[in-house]
Amino acid sequence: MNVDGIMNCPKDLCSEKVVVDGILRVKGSIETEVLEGNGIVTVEKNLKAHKVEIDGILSVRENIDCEQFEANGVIKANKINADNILIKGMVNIKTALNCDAFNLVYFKKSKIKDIEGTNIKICSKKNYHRPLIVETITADEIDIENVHCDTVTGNHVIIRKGCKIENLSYISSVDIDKAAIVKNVKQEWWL
Amino acid sequence: MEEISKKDLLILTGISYGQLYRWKRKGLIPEAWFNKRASFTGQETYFPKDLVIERIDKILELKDDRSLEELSKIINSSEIRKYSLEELKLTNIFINNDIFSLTKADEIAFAEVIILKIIDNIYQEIKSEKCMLEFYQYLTSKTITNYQEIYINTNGNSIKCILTKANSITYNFHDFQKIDLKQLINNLKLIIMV
Repeated sequence: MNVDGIMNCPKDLCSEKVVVDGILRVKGSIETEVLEGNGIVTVEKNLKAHKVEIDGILSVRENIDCEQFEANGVIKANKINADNILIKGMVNIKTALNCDAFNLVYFKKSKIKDIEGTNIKICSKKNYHRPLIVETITADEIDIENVHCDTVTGNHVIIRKGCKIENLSYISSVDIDKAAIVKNVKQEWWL
Repeated sequence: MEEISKKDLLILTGISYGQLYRWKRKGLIPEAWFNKRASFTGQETYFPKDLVIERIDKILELKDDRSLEELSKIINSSEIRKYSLEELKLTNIFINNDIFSLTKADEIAFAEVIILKIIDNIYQEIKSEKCMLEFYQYLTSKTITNYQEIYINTNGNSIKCILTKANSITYNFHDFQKIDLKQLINNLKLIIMV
């Protein structure tokens, strides 16, 4: 399905491929193999897809569930579950972001409640100094910059400049930049 | 129900954070089992110990033969699909195969499998067939998956049974046999899905 212009969908939308050049508003859920959004896509319920590519704004009131997620722009959702997530821009996740690999470069006020997964890499764009606000980060490999977080728990952890961490627990290794503030550091156990 | 912290769970099972959260994402470990609480190290997640350890052991055992998507489908569909009596006999879940005479259908729902397993536990102690059938009918009139525990007392010709929605009730049922339904349900799911 191709949307060139503006489309309002009053119910659920189910299609093999959804390509949006313009604005798509869906009152229900979207279920598709591929969602390509250039412009604005708003979903009142859930988004379920194999691959999601966004250039613009994606706003999902409930959850995003997919394998590959790539976005340049603004992403808002209650929860996001994906194998790989690559976001450049602004992100606002109300509850949890769960993925194998998460790569975020942000340059607008961003917030994620919980980040959980395997490989987490977060940095802010050059000359952008507002922090990403997170409650917890739990993953095997963590590499973060300019993140304010209550609890970071990981196996190999790198804390770069601009970070402000209340509690950090690690297993194998930790590397904390001089320009980062970490209040409590604890090695959990040795493998 | 005894709980285990995420840290202790990882040490005990040897899995990584990534594996734990991947299985959560794929629906292999229910989100409801992740209970976050404040601790002196910030926040810690606690799990129902027996359930989560058993589930992880089963996943580790099966993950090399089946994809995570397949495992997830099996776990999540086990309550929806129906099971033929022949199929159930092959699983060796039941000690007494005579138990199947209680049901008239050739295929039964998962809830009925649970009920048959409960009766299977006390089958040898009940001499009256009528009593057994009445107990079976009583249990099928209930939504068994809504309960946490069942206490059963048998004396040959009668069965006393208490179903509870709360776990670990304080009253001392010393003559009663306690069955943890949540645990039984999870065990059955894991056996049936193989």
